[in-house]
Amino acid sequence: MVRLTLRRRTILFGALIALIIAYCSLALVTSRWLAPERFDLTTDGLYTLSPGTRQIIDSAHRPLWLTLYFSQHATKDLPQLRSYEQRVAEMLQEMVARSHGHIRLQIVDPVPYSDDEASAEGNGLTPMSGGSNGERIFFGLVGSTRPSNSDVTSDVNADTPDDKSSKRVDRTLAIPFFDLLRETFLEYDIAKLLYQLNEPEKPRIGLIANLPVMGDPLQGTAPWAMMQQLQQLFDVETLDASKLKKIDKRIQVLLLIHPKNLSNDAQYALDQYVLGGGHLVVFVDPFAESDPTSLSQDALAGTNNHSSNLPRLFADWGVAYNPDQIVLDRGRALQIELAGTNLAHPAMLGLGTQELNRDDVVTASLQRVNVSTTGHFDLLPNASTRLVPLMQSSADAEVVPTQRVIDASNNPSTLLQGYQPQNQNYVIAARLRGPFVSAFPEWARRPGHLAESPANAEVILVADTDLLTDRLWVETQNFLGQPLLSAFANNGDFINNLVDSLSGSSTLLSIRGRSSSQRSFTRVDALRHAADRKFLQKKQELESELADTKLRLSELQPVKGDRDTSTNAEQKQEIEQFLRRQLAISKELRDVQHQLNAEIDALGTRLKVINIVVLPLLITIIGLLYGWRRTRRNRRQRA
Amino acid sequence: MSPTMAVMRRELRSYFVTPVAYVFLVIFLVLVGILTFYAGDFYDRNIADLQPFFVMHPWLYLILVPAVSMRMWAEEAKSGTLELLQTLPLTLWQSMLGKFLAAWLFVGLALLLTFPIWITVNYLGSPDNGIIVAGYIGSWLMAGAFLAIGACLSTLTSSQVVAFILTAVVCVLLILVGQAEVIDFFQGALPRKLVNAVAHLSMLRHYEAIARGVLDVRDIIYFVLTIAAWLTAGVLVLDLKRNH
Repeated sequence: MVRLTLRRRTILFGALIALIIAYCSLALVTSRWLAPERFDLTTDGLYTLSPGTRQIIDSAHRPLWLTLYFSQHATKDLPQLRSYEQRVAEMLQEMVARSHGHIRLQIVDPVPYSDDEASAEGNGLTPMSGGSNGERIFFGLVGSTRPSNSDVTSDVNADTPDDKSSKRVDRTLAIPFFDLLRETFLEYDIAKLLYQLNEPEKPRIGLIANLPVMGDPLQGTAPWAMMQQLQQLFDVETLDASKLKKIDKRIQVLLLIHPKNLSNDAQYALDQYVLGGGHLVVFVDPFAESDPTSLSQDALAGTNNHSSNLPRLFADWGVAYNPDQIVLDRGRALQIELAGTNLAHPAMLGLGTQELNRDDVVTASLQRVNVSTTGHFDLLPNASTRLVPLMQSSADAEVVPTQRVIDASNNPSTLLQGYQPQNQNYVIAARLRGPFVSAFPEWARRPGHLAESPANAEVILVADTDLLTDRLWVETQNFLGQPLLSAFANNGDFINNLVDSLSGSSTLLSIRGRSSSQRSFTRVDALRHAADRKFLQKKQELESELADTKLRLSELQPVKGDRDTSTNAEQKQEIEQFLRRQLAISKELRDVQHQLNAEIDALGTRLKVINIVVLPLLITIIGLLYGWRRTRRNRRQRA
Repeated sequence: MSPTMAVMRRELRSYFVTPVAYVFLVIFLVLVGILTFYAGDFYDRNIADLQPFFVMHPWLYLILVPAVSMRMWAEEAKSGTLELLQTLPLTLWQSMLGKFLAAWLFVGLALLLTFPIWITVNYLGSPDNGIIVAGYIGSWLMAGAFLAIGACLSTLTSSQVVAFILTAVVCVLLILVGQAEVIDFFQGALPRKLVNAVAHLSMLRHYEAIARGVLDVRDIIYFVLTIAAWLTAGVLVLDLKRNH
């Protein structure tokens, strides 16, 4: 019997040890190697990567190292930023989980004066000021095709993926700072970074321009700032429109600037490029101020020779564009200096956040784009395409003949005479979405002819070329003999975003904005706004009272030379009264502010009481009642 | 009614017969409220989510769960009812599961009673209720894992205090191994693979993964495995004691 018990005990001990081993191994195996199967319970599917991002991650053909820099200590008092950091980190972790070990992530807190801080700055991260104790806040992402030194020692996710890319050029790219305002495009921005890291070469951009955008080496003029920027990021290839017969498919984006009298061959090449899935951006203008040809009027045609158009293709795509019309917008008129005086030019417009599409990745984060003598687009009645505006005029705009604007160049204020706003937002730049069919059906027999486009084909239209010129967005300053560009509008960012998003890939373009995960207490916000309004109202009332007192005071000022002492006494009394009232008013304002904040605090206190006291109190009462009844029952039973 | 369910009902009723259950509930609710509003800065941070609430749960369970589980077997051993229980037509597994389910339901009730905070956050703004649901699921699963540990450890001793302390120590270790600071601390001293492997066993890591709003099958498997393993270990220990 004893032997039997001993044997059973040995078996039980063995089972216990086997259980521990089995548990550890199973927990590890399932955690690390089981394919992720997830159910995203968030309302907007925050953690479900869009198909575009998944495709980009799956097609990563070399290992990538990501480093998220976030200043933990400096953001101690910034809950919104900390919460956003969590969202960014989770999005990155989701991508890492999807990558099957191809992407490695490291999260670093760059404390002041540390190597991490130096490496964050060295990799192009932009710190923000305003952290606790005046520390700088780093919150950016660095992506690289090779591991950083610190990765080798502290990468949480272990194994170094085998690097088959030693022959490839290593690249390091960064998102300088995760802006809360761009949260809707968080997934897009990170996916773009991954995409660019994976690309072995700079994207190729084609350029057909009828304006001197690349400068003139003979005359010693430099390329426009816009082009200099593009050349840094992309491989820009200039194409000759007069000899154009076919556009190379390897050109990812084609910029067509100021097209004038293009040959049929060139138009056919453009048509086939678009139908083949190429990304075309067309800049036309009713009046291109930088057109180098001397201004002459073609009386017969009634047009000026500084205008551009793409009539055949526009008609085929269902686009209405009239180069004889310019959009005036007195609500968005830019101030210019003419002959020493400042005046608002209704044909030169500063388009702000209201006029830029906040839902499009290209324009979402821009603050202002300046345009000049711009045209506008519309759809023809029978169009099968869709026009998604990127930039529009305000509703306080009207359309006038181009000639009228040219004539008013010496006195633009005459354009405001008889101004009649149409209460319409004119489309200045837009995405034109297909389906497109060939504008050259008669050339259908040509080898390789495409009759229609894929479903997701898109052309971008901009009705102004002046926005590309330096004078509308950038100032060049001389800094230690070097030209230093300082931008005063986002025109450069607009073109960069445009080319960037189009050169990415159609998968990248498919990643659209998401809703924001940051939700504030709307009720508290409403209280705060109401309080602010009340405070402002009260302040205005009190200020006007003070102004009245001041006025009375100035009325009592002695007239020059008047030596009447009685007036002086009255004046003195009034001054004293004024000072007393001023003190009383500032106290009153402080009280008002205090009282209004008190409403918000009172709500907080009520909620604290409900959550901390009410239910526990209720449970205590129920417990006591139950205990009392039980004791009474027991006593009765015993009796 | 199956024997497991009968044990569960008896245990559940026993919680409410004494003032213990009410005291537990009141302490839990008061603590959760204070920690959420004061330590978590729930109101002043002005963000409509329950992150400050859920982030406190692992630490709160360190007090509540061992207090619930300590009596499971230790009390039976001390009062001598363990032998009596073993004579009943019940397998050890059925008793263990019945007691565990009763405790898990009791903690679930405590969790449900935190509903005013959910109403509060919906009153103040428009939170993502999907994330909140996931938070509750994750929290309940974590409580289940802690309870299973407590159930197992209370079979080792007849002293409730010892059972409480043992459970709290094991649970705190399982929370700590997931903390970034602890991982960093051991990175230099231990082989990286080992540190990473242990980090995968961390309760906190799996809880946080669910609480952000995503139910990952791997996290659920981890909790189910943990509960099953500790309950099995408890049954084996009881069996060992029986054969002593």
